[in-house]
Amino acid sequence: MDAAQLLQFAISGLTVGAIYALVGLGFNLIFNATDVINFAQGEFVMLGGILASIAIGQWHWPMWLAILTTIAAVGLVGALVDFGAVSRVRRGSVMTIVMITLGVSVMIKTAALLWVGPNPLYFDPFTAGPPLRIFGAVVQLQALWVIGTGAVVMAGLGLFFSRSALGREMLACAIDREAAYLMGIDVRRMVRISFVLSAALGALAGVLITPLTNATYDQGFTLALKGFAASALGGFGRSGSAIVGGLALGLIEAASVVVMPSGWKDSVALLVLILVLVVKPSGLLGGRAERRHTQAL
Amino acid sequence: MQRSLVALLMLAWLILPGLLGSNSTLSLLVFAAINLVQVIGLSLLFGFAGQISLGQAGFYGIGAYVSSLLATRLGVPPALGIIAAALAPAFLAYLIGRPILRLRGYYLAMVTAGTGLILHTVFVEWGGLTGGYSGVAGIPPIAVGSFAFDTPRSMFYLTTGFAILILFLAHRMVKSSYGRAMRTTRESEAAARSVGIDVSRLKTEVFAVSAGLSGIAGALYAHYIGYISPETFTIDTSINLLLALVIGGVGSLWGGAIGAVLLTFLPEWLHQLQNAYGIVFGALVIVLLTIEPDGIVGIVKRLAETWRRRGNQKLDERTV
Amino acid sequence: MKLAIEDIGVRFGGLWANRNVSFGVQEGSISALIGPNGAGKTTLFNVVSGFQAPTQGKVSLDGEVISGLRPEKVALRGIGRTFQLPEICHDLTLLENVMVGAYRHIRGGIFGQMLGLGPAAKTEREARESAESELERAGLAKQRNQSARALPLGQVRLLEIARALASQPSLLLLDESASGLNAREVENLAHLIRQLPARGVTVLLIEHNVRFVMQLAEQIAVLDHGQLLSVGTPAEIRNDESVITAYLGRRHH
Repeated sequence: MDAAQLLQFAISGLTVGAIYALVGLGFNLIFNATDVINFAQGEFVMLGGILASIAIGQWHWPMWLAILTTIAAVGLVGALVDFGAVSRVRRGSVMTIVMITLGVSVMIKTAALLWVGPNPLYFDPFTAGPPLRIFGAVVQLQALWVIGTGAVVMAGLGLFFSRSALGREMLACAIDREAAYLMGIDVRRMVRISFVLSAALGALAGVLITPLTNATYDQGFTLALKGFAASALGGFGRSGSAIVGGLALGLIEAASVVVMPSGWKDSVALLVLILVLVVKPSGLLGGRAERRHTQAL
Repeated sequence: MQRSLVALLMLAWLILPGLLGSNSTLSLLVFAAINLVQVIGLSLLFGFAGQISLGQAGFYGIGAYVSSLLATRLGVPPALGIIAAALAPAFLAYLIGRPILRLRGYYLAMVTAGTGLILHTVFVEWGGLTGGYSGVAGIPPIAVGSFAFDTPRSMFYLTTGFAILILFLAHRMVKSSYGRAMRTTRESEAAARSVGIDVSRLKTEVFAVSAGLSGIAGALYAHYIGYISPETFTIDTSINLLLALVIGGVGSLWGGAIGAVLLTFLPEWLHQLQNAYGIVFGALVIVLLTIEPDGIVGIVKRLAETWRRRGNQKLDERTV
Repeated sequence: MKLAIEDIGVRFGGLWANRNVSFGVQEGSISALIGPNGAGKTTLFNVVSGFQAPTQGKVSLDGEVISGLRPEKVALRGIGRTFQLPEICHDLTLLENVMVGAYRHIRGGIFGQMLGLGPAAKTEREARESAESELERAGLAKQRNQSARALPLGQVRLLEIARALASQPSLLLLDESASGLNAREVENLAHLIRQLPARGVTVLLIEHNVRFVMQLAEQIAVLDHGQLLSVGTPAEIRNDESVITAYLGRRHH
């Protein structure tokens, strides 16, 4: 394999890797605030792709307006998921939470199917133009958008958590909820914000990737699994590790296409997830001590 | 009293197909029975041994493909193929069970879901064997000697009879020492191990049993429909099975049976709403979990309890 | 020697929860393990019952090394135990909970049990009978068919003991079985434990209630900061200066 091919794989790996990292960050946000793993996380991504496609393709909204509205709308869905379902069983067991978020996932998926049907939707890349040629590698402009936006958003999140008062309060909740509560932090509000942020991140991932891969009503769960794999790969509970895990997963997937038909690439990523969890459940980078999900049912 | 009740139910079972008249309802009952076999397997695994699986559709698929391919490619009689359809996924589950079932909670859910998705990919991508997206067609019906189970009525007797047998055996299982060990394992592995229960082995065995039951269900499905394709064996199928169990009631075999029937009939009842049953299904799960973790069976039990208490109260009033 | 603990050490990260602990338990005796909170008593129990692999040293039962075996294997060798925070199955009735203890005596495999075949049916019947008599001894016979869900803590502890005894252990480890019990329940518990040596059960118990231990145990081992401070009869322990300062002194200031 020559340098151009290598670069080609690196770019496509980073592109999907950035998406997985965004989904993984979404998992982490909610998990840190509540110990909940939201099995409907992938539906936020799907909704992001579908809403933006409809707004741009059918309603002919300007792209920037469509994207911002989509992210805001899906963020609202995130708040609804918390308000209508997850917060109702806050004290429930891990299994109750798995079931209730699976229920949410089925509802959202079905609603999307009823609304837009089973056919894939898409919209044009953010910027038109022929693919770039860099050192012999062909790079779609949208891929650069994905990588660039992903990097900016992740850096922004880092700043948000380290600099802003709200971000710090959320971080305090993530570290020790009881202590945060005793210090007068409104934990309920932090949880709600986590859901909104997490859903918005998912929607952003959906918006970014749709021009490259299309959006269908049933793509959510696979994306959720890969995002989870990204988080688990890096080690749960630390945001930075979701980014590393996501990029690693993306690169592994891109590399797998070299040696086997592309239809298997989802399986490769999932196999990595399984192997990592079985061999080293705390993730490759060693995550925070697992909380709820290591306890007995 | 109990014996006459059983006899009455037997009679109802025998004459039901005649009463129904319509083949479509009969056909739905066949599917309900097939789903029941699967949900009972999941009930043993999840409800009793406490181990979640989001990968049952993968085992369901293995059973369907194994039996179908044996019949269409090698001419193996379906009645024998079903045995292979039970053993193949059970064997796979047994192999992967020990490492996987050390995981708990979210991790186990994700890893079993991943396993199901990988198996789905195998069904799609191993085209030379499975026919890829177009699947396997021309699958012969189950036959014993010269008698073929090729009508809804004969399949009704076969599948419901089998489902009842499985229900009975599962009932015996959960009432046995092994069943007590399963339930103790679900609540406290420490307690189970302290009395000499090898929880790792037990979980793997129950996982294999549930995979085997899914495999049988897959074979019954394939030989009834005559055609299979990967889209039957998706993560959605796995999720729906689990949600059906939760709606019916996780803690009892009856809950599994109710869930299986709902899973089959709800799409039919909501027929006018097209695919909306997913919304009803999801909403049912959310509502049920917030009011009664034991699903419909839990609600019925609670109602019966209040009713009984009220009856007692009335009795007390009368004696006063 | 029923149980021999030799030079046991358990390290968690940089901290030794047990270090250089050695003592023996005589066949048919009642021994106790005492010490302040965090002294490493439960860790030592976990080592003996296989829930914790020791970093160093070994444990032998009847002269055979058992350390390194998994808990279920240790249980099959005849060691029963209870837990400081009781571990019972709330979904089962009291009788079923105790029958779980007899799991290792049930024969016939899954299919034999499902179909109620000869050996399975016979051992199941025996398990039921022994569970019934354990419940009787524990004073829980009346509630045998109730769910374990609503049981008060004192009775939960008794239920756990009955379950452990139903496995017919030759050594029983009791982890703070008297805590959370009222005075009358403690009295019943002491009575129950005193009868065990006659039934061939050697007892090793962890206890905070010093008076309870002094009247019950023939031998007492004192742990402090993971290390063995002293071993002896109640009288010897009562007069041991180091024990008085490290343990009794601290408690009765």
